[in-house]
Amino acid sequence: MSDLDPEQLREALTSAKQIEAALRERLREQDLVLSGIEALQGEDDPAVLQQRAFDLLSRSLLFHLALVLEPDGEDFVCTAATDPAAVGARWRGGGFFNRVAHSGRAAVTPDNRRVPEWQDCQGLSPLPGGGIYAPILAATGPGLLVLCSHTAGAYGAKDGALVSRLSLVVSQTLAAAQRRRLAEAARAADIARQAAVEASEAKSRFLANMSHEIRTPLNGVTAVADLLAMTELAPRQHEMAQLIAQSGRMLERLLNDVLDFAKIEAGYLEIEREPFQLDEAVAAMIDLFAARADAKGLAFTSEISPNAAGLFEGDSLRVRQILANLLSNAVKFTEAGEVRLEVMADDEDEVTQVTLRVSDTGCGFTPERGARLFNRFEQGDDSITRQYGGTGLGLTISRSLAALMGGTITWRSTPGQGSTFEATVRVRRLEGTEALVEKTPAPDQDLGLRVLVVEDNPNNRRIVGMVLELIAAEVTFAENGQEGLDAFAPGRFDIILMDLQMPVLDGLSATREIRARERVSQAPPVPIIALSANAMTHHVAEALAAGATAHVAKPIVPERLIQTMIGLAPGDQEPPALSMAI
Amino acid sequence: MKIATAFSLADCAEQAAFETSRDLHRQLGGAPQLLVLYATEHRAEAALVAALSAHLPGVQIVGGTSCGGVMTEQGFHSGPDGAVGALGVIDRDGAYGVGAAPLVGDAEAAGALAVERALAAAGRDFEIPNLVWCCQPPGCEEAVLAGVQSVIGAHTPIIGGSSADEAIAGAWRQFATEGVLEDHVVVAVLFPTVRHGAAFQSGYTPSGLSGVVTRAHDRQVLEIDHRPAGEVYGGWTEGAVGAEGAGPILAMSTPTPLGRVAAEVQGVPMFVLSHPALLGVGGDLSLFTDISEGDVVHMMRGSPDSLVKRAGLVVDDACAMGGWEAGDSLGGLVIYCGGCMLHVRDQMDEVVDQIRHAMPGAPFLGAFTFGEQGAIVDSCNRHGNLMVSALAFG
Repeated sequence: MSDLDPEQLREALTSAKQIEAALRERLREQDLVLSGIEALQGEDDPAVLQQRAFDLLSRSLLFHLALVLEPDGEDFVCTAATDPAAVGARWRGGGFFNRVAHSGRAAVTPDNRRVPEWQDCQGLSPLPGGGIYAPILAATGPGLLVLCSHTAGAYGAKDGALVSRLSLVVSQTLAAAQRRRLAEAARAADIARQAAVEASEAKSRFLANMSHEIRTPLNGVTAVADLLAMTELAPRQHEMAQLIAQSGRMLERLLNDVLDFAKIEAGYLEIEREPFQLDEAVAAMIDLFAARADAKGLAFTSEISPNAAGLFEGDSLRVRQILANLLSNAVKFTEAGEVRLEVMADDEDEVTQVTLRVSDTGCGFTPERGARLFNRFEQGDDSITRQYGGTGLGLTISRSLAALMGGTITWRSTPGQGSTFEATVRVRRLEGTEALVEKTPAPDQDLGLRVLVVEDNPNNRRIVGMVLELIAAEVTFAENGQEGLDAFAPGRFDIILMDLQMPVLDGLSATREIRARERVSQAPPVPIIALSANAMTHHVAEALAAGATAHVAKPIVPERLIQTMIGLAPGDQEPPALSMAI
Repeated sequence: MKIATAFSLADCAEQAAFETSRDLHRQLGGAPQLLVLYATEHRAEAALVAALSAHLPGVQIVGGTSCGGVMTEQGFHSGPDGAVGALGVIDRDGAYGVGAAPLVGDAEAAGALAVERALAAAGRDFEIPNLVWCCQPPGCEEAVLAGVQSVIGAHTPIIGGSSADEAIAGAWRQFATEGVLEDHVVVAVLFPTVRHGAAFQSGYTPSGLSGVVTRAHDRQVLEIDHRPAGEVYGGWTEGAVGAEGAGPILAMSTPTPLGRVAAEVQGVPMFVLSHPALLGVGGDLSLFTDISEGDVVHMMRGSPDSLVKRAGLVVDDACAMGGWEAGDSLGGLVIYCGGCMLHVRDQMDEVVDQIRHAMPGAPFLGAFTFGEQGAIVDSCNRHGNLMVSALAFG
């Protein structure tokens, strides 16, 4: 061994000790990161996790304040801190914060007061010492972990690198907090959705019940008024009876509006696809509103494109409803001049776009008011509601109906000069010339039908009885479903009128039982007409599913009920002349 | 980060700048952001920096004069017309800046001003860099370090060397982006995107002889253990130094410098050396470092063989401190004491081999200085003599 060996050994020892110290420091850093990750496991309380992250940092190096900054638009906001008073402090994000947050590398400053972002900080003053700014991944985007010291130049880049590694733990903490927030938000949303569903269902039930409760007495009013008008009355009395019937119809329309709206909101409204004559459907509306316009001293002109003639598949009732709403508004809001209707049909590939354009020379409205027209319960303004009446649902419903039929409603208007509304719907043109079979009743007073009326409401039994007198039916009454079943025997009745909501046994159950008995005895099914104020589509569907042959909504319009009965009665029945003497 | 080195032995500054910039450009594929430039006093001409700046637009330059030559991975470069060596860095996601300040009276203030300017040039005015590279003339290094630390704190490694000349005649200069400077501090701040490791060591061991400085003034040791310092030191060297009376003793004292404990790593003392340069007529010793009364000085011993191997070992340590295997180095800088270089000049090729072995395949630039600065145990910044300071990237 040479005499130089001690020098070399000493150099080697010095090197080894330095390297060992560096390795030990690196191991310590790795241990810190690992212990930080371990500390997060099995815990999902964000507050506990955050505290553990801060504890980990304080084991790593000395600091006086630790801040977690999350981006909020252009700003950074303190969402967690070792000093709770710092939470909520806000920095305007400048070049430094944004660079560090997005660079993935920590920055170290000798004096926080020199960092420009601190100049405009709201809610916190910079500590007059060194700082470490490490990037983290917050829920709202790249954020910062900031450690502040009271001592100037307290940190070096090596400290920054360590904190940068530990910021992973903070990011995990924030992710855990975010997961919990998301889970809580999802839970809250689920609860809110469930509540909304329940509220919607409750509203639908309420509306259905109200519909029933309102329709039942309304049925009495209009049906009796109709019947009364058919009796021999003095002209003045006849006029009064007609007025009562008209008022009842108006109430019915309002009720239908409310129900339609509820159905649209609940997603229950369904569009029928039945063949119909567009020009005929339009013509019926023209007749009606031309008369109303004439009564107000307004001119009424119409132009129906030849292309609109023919057979289409769609929902004629809803098309007429839209048109009636537009024409009704035009007549209602026009005091002088004219109301004009144009109907066009443009054939496209598979469908035909029908345009209903209604123009008037009425009061018109400003664009601002126009923008609110389709809001529910809105009319031009409150004074219009007071002046002209109405629910304010008509246009909302019409636009929803148009949308359900693949179209929309647009408008243009000049205050004081008039308005033009244009509704479009999509229908399918049917080929061929097969005309719709119109069941036009012819008067006949004696059909000789044997009818079982199952109805719990005495007034309704009385009204139905009066109607059936018109056709000289042989009527058997039952006051609930069970009595109806007791009275029923296969072949005993030609038609059964079945109320749906009844005590003891409801109409749906009674209908099912009748069908069951018929199947057992192999008897032909007797026509059952469900009579109900539950006019919402799903109620009709339920009735038909239970075995009802048809559904007639209350209030009962005598003519409608009789026509339905004639359509279902065995053999070729002829409808009666609807007049009677009481 | 891409690193490349180039050198030139050309006899004029323009040609040297042309060759250097051409080679760097070819290796890096563009102009470097930072150029660490060392050249012998022959090439300390304004034209050198001007031509380099012209050939490498946007480059920032830091460095100074080197004693006797320069070294790169291609060898030890020294010629009759001097030598130029340069290390270029491209690191687009990193940040680099160079600042300079004149040493007019207050070296500490100059250090502070230079680092402030460097940070501004890097676009990181109020931040602490990962590393600082410095160059200044011999004589005020401790104050320069204090000045830099007054701005960025004491936790950032400050590495570099004091500019040197060929005959200790004050022909040393500093290189900065703005040109060739005299009596300036030039500082580069580095925010690299890759890992770095630094080591600062001497190849000397304590002899067992030591004493307490009982009288001192700046860089003069007047008494050790209340006896004339020259007399004590002469006794420790058994007459090898000082027997010829007052005068320069730099070469004679190289194997036996004085050392002070700068830090201890797990019980092992880390020495920073002071090179006795002059024996005064009053028996005092002039050093290349500051000294204070109360300092314990040890006589250290080193051999030529140790000096040859030392550079490679320190580079080894720098890589180990950075935490990567030797083969993964991207490149580095080595500051080697000019006095040591002169002592083993004939073996410089072996010194280069040792460094190549420690950083295989990686480019490096080495300069020979009259004072070395580095970080002991990472970030304990010191100025010393007869030291090797290494910085490696990996």
